[in-house]
Amino acid sequence: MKNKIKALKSSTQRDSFEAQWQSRQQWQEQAEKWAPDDKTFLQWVEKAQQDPAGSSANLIPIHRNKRWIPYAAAASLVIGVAAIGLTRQSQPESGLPVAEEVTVESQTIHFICNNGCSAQDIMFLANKVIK
Amino acid sequence: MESSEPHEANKSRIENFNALVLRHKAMIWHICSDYNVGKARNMEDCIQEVLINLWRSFGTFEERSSEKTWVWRVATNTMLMLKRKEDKSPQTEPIEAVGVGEKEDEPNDEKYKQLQQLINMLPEESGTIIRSFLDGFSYKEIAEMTGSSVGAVAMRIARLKQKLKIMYERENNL
Repeated sequence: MKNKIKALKSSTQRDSFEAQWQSRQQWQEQAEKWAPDDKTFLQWVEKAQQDPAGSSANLIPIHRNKRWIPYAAAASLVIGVAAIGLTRQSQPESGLPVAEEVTVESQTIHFICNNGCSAQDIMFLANKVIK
Repeated sequence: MESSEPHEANKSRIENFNALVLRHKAMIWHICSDYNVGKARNMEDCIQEVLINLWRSFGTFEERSSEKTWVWRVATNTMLMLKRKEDKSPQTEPIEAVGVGEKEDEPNDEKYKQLQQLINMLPEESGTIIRSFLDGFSYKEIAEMTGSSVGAVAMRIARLKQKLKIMYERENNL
């Protein structure tokens, strides 16, 4: 009897894991329901657009396939070149969390990661600066 | 490039950005919310941080990846950055999330939260991969994001799911 209860509990919990897994995959429905309304989001967007570092004008022509890089990123690339060199040596499998592969703290890496660049982008920029 | 962008172009740029944010606001909210499970972060601050990073890099988005992938990646990396900062300076505040979404009828599925907390315990890269899958990206898209093959991604996700299941069973004393 005890074993039966244990087996039943185990089966319920396993089902529960699958249920959670499936529920998590249907995040969109929940997010649509709970995300703040458009007006609130636009107020936050307005604040973000006042960020001085967010100026769209500060772009310089480091260029691949018409890619323009923010000036701040290019400037900090020069400072962070040593760290980028390390990244190049330990190029990660993933293009996502590159910074964790780097042992040297570098604002450059953080900046580039935060801006949605892939590992390939970083390698390209690093090569540009090193050359 | 000089900072003398014509006023009209700038206005159009702002409008385009606003429209982009509204198209993806649910996903932005969802990513911030997921990383905040069990954390004392303020949701508005997190979303604001994501929006600033999106705005900063809006000029560099050139549609080599899909718009959704780009927004997802910037939002995810922003939250990872916040997490790294916190890991370096541990907080002693209560673990309930505060700020936006702190309504009485907020989504409060404990089981859902439990899975999310387990995902948050995975190594950063594994967590990112499993989240991208759960957020609806295909194996092919994840393979492109991570520079892996489709087969490797599929295998990795299957293994991570299995690992999460074991963690879940251990957590529930099974």
